[in-house]
Amino acid sequence: MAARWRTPAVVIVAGCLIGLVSFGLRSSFGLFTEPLSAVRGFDRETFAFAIAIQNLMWGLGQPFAGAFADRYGAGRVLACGGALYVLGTILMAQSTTGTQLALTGGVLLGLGLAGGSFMIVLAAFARLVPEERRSWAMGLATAAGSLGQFLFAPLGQAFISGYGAVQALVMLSFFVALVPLLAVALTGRGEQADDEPEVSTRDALRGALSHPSYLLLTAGFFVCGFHIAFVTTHLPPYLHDLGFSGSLAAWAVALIGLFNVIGAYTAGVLGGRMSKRLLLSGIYFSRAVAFLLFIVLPTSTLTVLVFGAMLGLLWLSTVPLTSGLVALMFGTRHAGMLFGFVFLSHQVGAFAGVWLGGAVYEATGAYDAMWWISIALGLGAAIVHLPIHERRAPRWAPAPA
Amino acid sequence: MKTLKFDLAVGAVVTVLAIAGAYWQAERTAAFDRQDGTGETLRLVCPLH
Repeated sequence: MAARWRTPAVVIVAGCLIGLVSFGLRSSFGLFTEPLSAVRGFDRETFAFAIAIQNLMWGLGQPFAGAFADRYGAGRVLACGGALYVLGTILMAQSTTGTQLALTGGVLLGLGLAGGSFMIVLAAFARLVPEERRSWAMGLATAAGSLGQFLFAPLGQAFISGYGAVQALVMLSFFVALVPLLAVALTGRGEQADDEPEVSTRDALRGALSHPSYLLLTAGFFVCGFHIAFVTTHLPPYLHDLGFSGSLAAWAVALIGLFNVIGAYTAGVLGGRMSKRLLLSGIYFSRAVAFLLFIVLPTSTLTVLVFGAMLGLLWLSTVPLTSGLVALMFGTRHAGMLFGFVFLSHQVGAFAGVWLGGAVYEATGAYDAMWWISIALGLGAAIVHLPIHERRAPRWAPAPA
Repeated sequence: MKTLKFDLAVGAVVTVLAIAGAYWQAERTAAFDRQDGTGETLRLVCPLH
C-alpha cells in the first residue's frame, strides 16, 4: 500500500532535488580535467576517454536501469544508482592510472548515472504524478537538473581552490549521497493501469521497436544529443578560432544554462496543453534556424550571446516532451525501459556529435561542415516528428469496456 | 485558469532562481579568471575553508 505522505507534491520535490544533485555534480566534472590530471599525472586524452566511457555506459545502462525500475521500483534503482554514483566519484578521485580512471569515473559513474539520475525520475513521475500534471512535472524536473549546474560548478571551483581536486571531488560526492534518501519518496514499480492491456517486458520492447512513431521519436532524440554534445564541446574552440576570448565562450555556455532552465520548464507547461510532436518539431526547426543564423550572420559578441540564449531555450526542452510522448504511446508499465532506449539513442548522438566535430575539424581545419550537418539534422528531426501518432500505440490501446 | 496561474508562478520562481544562479556562476567564474595588476591570477578562497 502506498504511504500517505508520498503525495504528488512530495514526489515532485524529491524528484527535482535528485535531478538537481545528480545532474549538478555531473556538470561540474569538466572543472576537474586540469587539476585532477595535474595531481595524478594524466594527460587530457586519458581524462577525456574516461568521460567518453562514462557517457557510453550511461546510455547503455539506461534501458537496463529503466527495466529494473519498472520491475522493482524506481526508489530501489535510484538508491542503488545513487550509491554507485557516490562510490564511482570517490574512487575516481583515488584513481592513479588511466585504467583505474576509466573503470571508476567511466564504468562505475556511468552506471551510477543510469540508475541514479533524472531519466529514472522521469519514469517515476510518469507513474506517480497524475497524467494531467505529468508534462509540467517532467519540465520542472528537467529545469531543476539544469539549475544544479549553477550550484555545483561554482561550488566545485571553490572546493578545488580550497582543498585540492582530490578532496573536492570526494566532498562533492557527499551531496549525491542524498539521492538514496530522497529516493524513498519515489518508491513504486510499474504497475498495470486499469485501462492498459497486460504486456510482458519482451513484448513491450518488441512492440515499441516495431512502432514507427517510437522509432521516429528515437531518431529525433539522436539529433538532440548530437546538437548538444557538439555545441558543448566545440563551441569554445570555435569561438577561440574566430578570435574571441575564452570568457565569451563561458558567458555563452552560462546563457545556454540560464535559458535552458526557462526553456525546459516552459516546454513542460506547453506539453500539457499543446501537441508534443508539433512542439518538438518546432524546437528542432528552430535549432536549425539558430545554427543557420549563427553561421551566416557576421559573428560578434552580440550574436554569440543571442545564439547562446536561443539555443538555451531549445536545449533540454525536448526532454519532457519526448518522455511525455513515450508515456502517452505506451503507458507507464514499461516507461523506464522505453525511456531508456530513447535516451540510448541520445547518447549515441552525443558521441557522434563530439567525435564527428573533432574529425571534421581535423580533416578540414574548420567547423563549417559540422554546422551545416547540424542544420540538416535539425531540419530532418523537425520533419520526422510530424507523422508521429500522438496517441496510444495499437498494442497498448485501452481494452473496450 | 487556476492551474495556469500556478504554473506561471512556479515559472517565475524558477526563472528568478536561474538568473540568480547564472549570475552567481558567472561572477565566480569571472573571479577565477581575474588578474591583478601584476598579471597574477587571483584565486578564490573557498567560503567554507
